[in-house]
Amino acid sequence: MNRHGLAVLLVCVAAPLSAQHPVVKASAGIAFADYREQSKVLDFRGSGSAGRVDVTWRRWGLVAGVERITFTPTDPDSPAQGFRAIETDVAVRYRPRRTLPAEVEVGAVRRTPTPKDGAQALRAFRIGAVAHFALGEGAEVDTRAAWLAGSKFSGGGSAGTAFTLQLRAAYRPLARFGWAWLVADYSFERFDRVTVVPVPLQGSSVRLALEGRFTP
Amino acid sequence: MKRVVLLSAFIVLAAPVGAQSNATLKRALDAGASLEYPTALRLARRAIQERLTAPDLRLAYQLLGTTYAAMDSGTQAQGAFRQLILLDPEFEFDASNISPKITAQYGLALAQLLVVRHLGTDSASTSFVAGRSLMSFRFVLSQRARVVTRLVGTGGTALLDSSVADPGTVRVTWNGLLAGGVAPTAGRYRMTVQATSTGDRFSTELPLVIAVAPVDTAPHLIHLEGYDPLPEMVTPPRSFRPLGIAALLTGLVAGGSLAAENGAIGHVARREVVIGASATLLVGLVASFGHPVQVPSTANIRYNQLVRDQLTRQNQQISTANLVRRQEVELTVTPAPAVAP
Repeated sequence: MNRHGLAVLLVCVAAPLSAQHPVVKASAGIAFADYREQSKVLDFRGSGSAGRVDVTWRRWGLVAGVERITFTPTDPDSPAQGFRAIETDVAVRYRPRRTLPAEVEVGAVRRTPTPKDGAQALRAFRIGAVAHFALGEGAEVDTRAAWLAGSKFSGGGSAGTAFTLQLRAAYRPLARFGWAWLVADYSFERFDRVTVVPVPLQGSSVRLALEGRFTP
Repeated sequence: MKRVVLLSAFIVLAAPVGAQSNATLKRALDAGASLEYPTALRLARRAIQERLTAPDLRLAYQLLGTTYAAMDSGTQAQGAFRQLILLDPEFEFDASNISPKITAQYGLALAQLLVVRHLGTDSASTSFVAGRSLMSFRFVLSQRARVVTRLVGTGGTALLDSSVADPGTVRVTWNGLLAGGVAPTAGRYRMTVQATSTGDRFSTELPLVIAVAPVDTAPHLIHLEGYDPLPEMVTPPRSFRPLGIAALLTGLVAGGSLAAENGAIGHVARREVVIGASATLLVGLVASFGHPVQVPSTANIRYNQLVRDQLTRQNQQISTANLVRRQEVELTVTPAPAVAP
């Protein structure tokens, strides 16, 4: 059954792929971020690197991103220590109507700090929607809103209210190099985490990257 | 006055008097010019008995008919004119110079005979496409008769008409094809007209030279007159819509994130939201005010396609017409002087 099922799956995937090529967008750049946790004392700011791969095929899309940011306390007198965070997110998109420039998105977010007690490690599922706006030839804006469900924290507790808002602008400066785009990606997220008492988390980041678009 | 008109008829007769080789005829003409009718009649009849050339014989009968008509001897005048007509069917008095008394007798004589006269074409030379156009011939018939018109030549024959025609001018058309529907080859041809009445028959012919040439083909069209192609890429008009969309989304996300901040742990830094919002507004600004990029014009593309389709259709029609034209020939028909047998 497994072999037959795999063969059927391969045929189902390969046939449409041969008919229509996917579009691959890969970007790399720098990221700036701000992170707060629990109280005004745990306020961090940082910068680092970021990368993202986005594959679109027909109505489907798959996106995977990673950010590696080194945070330091904003207050030099703060007893808190800096940490390095690696945040990964993976999501699958689907466009319900071909003519509608909007997609539903389901994915997962994971943040791992180093050292482990430097900040809360977390993971959550992301359920949301993306809207695309083509402003003109070589200019695009995307906006994204998602509910962060089923969040888990290394320090325990859960977040009943958790969401993220994103704004992404892309511009192609030179028509000669149609593959090269400049991208600015802003993201805000909030977790109303509760253990015994409320210990919320909140952060924002902006990513400036060079993106290449290809059709293999 | 009447005497003056009659005299002019004899002067016309006497004018070419120097060309006559027969002395008797010469004297008869002189007598006619002097209005000495009995002498003119006597000498003319004598001249006819002598051996005369064909032109002299015609002149003698003309003098005889004219003199009889002047003397009001209608029967004799018509008899002389009948002989004249048989000798020269194409003969015609100049009605402006000759007395009606004479021309009337000549007309009566003509009506008594079956002759086909003045056979010819409408113009000196006629060009037409064989099988597609018509060429007309005309002749004058003196009596009601069955007329058979034929074209005869080295390339073949064609029956143009066979019908009963009334006296007067008769027109016959030819479509340029010989028997069997083939076009004639170049060369000499004869147009023969054979008239048959009760107990009477007359035939005449018109020599023709037919030249054959291929028919010009039409050139293919490169463009349709008055339907120039439109540019398929056009520059759109400047629009503030991109900036408006960018501003709206920036406001929604930036305002939403600022409003959604958890005040218990303080406001997040503004650096990220300012960078993100500025970049988005900048993209909107560039999209609105930047050099507009040409976009395909669907209407123009469809219009050009229609024009191209029409051009193709017209060229296909021209090709089809040219195929037909290449099988056609253009004939140039020119009446030619008769060749002596």
